[in-house]
Amino acid sequence: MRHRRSAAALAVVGSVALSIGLGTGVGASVRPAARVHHTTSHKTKARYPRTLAGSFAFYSGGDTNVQQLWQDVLIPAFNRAYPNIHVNYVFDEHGTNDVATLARVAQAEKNHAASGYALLESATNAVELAARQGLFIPVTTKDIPNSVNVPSASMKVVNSDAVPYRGSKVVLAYNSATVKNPPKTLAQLLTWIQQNPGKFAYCSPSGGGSGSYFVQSVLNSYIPQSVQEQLAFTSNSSLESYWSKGLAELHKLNPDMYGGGNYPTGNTQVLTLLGSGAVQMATVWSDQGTQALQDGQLPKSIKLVDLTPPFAGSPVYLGIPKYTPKNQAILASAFLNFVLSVPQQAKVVKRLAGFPGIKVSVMTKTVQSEFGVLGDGQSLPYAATISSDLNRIWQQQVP
Amino acid sequence: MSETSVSTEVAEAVVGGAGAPGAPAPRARRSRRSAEGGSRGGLAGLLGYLPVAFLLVFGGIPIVFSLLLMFGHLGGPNAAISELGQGEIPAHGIGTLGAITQLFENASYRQDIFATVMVFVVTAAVVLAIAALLTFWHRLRPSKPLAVLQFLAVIPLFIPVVIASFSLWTFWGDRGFTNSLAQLAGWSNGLIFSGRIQGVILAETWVSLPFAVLLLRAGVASLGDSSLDAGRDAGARPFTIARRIMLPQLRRECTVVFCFTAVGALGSFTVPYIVGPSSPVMLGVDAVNTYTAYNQPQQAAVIGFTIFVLAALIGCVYALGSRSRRVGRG
Repeated sequence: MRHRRSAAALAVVGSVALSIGLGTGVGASVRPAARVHHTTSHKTKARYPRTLAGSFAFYSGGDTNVQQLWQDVLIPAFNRAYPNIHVNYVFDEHGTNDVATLARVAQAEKNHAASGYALLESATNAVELAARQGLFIPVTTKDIPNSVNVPSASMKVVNSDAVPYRGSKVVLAYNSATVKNPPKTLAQLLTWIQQNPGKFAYCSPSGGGSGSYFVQSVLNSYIPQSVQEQLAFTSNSSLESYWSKGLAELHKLNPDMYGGGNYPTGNTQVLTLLGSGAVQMATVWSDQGTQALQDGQLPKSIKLVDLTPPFAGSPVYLGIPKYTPKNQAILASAFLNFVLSVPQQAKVVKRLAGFPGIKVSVMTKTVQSEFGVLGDGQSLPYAATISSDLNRIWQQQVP
Repeated sequence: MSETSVSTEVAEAVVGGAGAPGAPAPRARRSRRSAEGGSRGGLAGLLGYLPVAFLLVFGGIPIVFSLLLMFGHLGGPNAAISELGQGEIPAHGIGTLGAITQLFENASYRQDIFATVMVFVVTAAVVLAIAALLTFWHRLRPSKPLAVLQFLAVIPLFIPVVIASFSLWTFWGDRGFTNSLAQLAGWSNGLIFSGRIQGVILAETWVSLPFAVLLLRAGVASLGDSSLDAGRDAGARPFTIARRIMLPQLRRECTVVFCFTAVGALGSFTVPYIVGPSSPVMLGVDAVNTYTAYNQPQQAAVIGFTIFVLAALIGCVYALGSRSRRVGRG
């Protein structure tokens, strides 16, 4: 399964987040982007010389395309820049060991000992959860100069204890051959679902973020903006009482969903249903949808669009566990800094058809054009712990 | 030779070995031989304990930790997992039943248990019936089509479950082969099994059938001709021979097939996760979701324990069924 098995997640926010007045940045160190880029290159060389040597272990949970990104693109590029650093890449398909690995990190942190991994990425929301538990070394612009380009809200949701290196958002996919006037708002979408029973699908929230963010959009339509922001940035579970109306609405939609309330178990199954024509409309990840269109898995008649307001999006984070030996932490920081550089972020965007971890505005015009009609606007997803609760409550109340 | 006597001889050999002055030479040689045999025996004994140690480390100890977690003991060995977990109910004193009552008071969890029991009982019964039909019939009336069927029944053994599950989900979906066939026959949406409990039972049957067929085929092959011939000579029909002569002799094999299939279906994850409905879900899926997607390790331990209890019940059936002694083997 692609990223976000457990929906969790936090925001790559960009312009939308800033427009709703969320966090203003990582302290006062945020500087104008154009100047930052120039300064960053200079700083990077000074901070991490090419002669750095050693090795560190990197646990990565994800799908095979993530594995290929690291093994075929980013790590070889890093090795060309730093020939004396060896990255011991440990891949875990679908992140089945994410929780166990993070438990190991938590135990090591408790014992003030090294966990064995100097860098972690998870396919689930485990890294965000761990960051909120304070298990990682705080990220500073001194250690990772290129993190200055990361949207401030993305850093805020993990208390600046991890950095995002890629992202994606959920969009509406529809078959333009059968749907001539696609919905433009959530209200229109819900009406369309009721008027076309069995033709819309979203996956169960615990199975994939594309379903989770649809659910969150419906719930948010009954929640004041201020509460939505709290659900995104805090773990205040008492706010979950605001979900009752949205959950009732989702439950009411059951007979109008695909298969009379048969929710696909993951993002991939939704794409299969869309590709086979079993459904005419569904929520999908923008990067997965774009890749499926490029690969021919989805017919050309399938179009991807944003609603107003857009569905949520989420970055994928990398964190350095506390008590990682200092020499390894330096190497991991050098690696993170390298990955967050504009040229490497451009490779991430191209390879995964997703969003960069850094602000889109600092990317080249060519890369910016890759986003096409979708743009980079997105809503805030719920915080990791709230999202886990949502998975459970949806399962108990909706199907 | 008992371990004690071996030890005694080894001790004697060490104390009064061949080189010891005044010790009789033949006894010393005997002692040396005994000592070599003893060390080999000791090593073999140690190797014998390896599986027990393996079970203890990878089975017993985690079960104990899991039980402690279930009863709310969140510290000690469970501290790390509890650090990240949500919705935990800590123990006060000996322990708490909070997590257990919380789950069992939930109607959706009770439905999950009911669905799980139904799936493993029906799957095991269907698998046993099909395997018995194929193997018994082939023994009584050997034919090429039956031989081919038996061969085909074994094929799923060589197909990864995840691939098979996704294929079956597509095959039985509303755009799949079965429903397309039904639509052609004018039966709208008549043969959709994906996303339904019936689909899980069918898929579990498909996955479990090879082992059942192989086991029963071996059992049937070991039956002697004399008893079957006696039945035929007495004018019994094939069904009567199967029921009155073959089945009693193969009761143990049938019990093994039923129980192993039931345990396999009970603990399965991939098939019900991909093919099954959104609700109710089988306990294997429930446990994984609770642990990873809901981030509730304590409640996941309760589900694990529920599965353990159900598996123990199946174990009782196995113990009762495999106690019988077979008679009339040729």
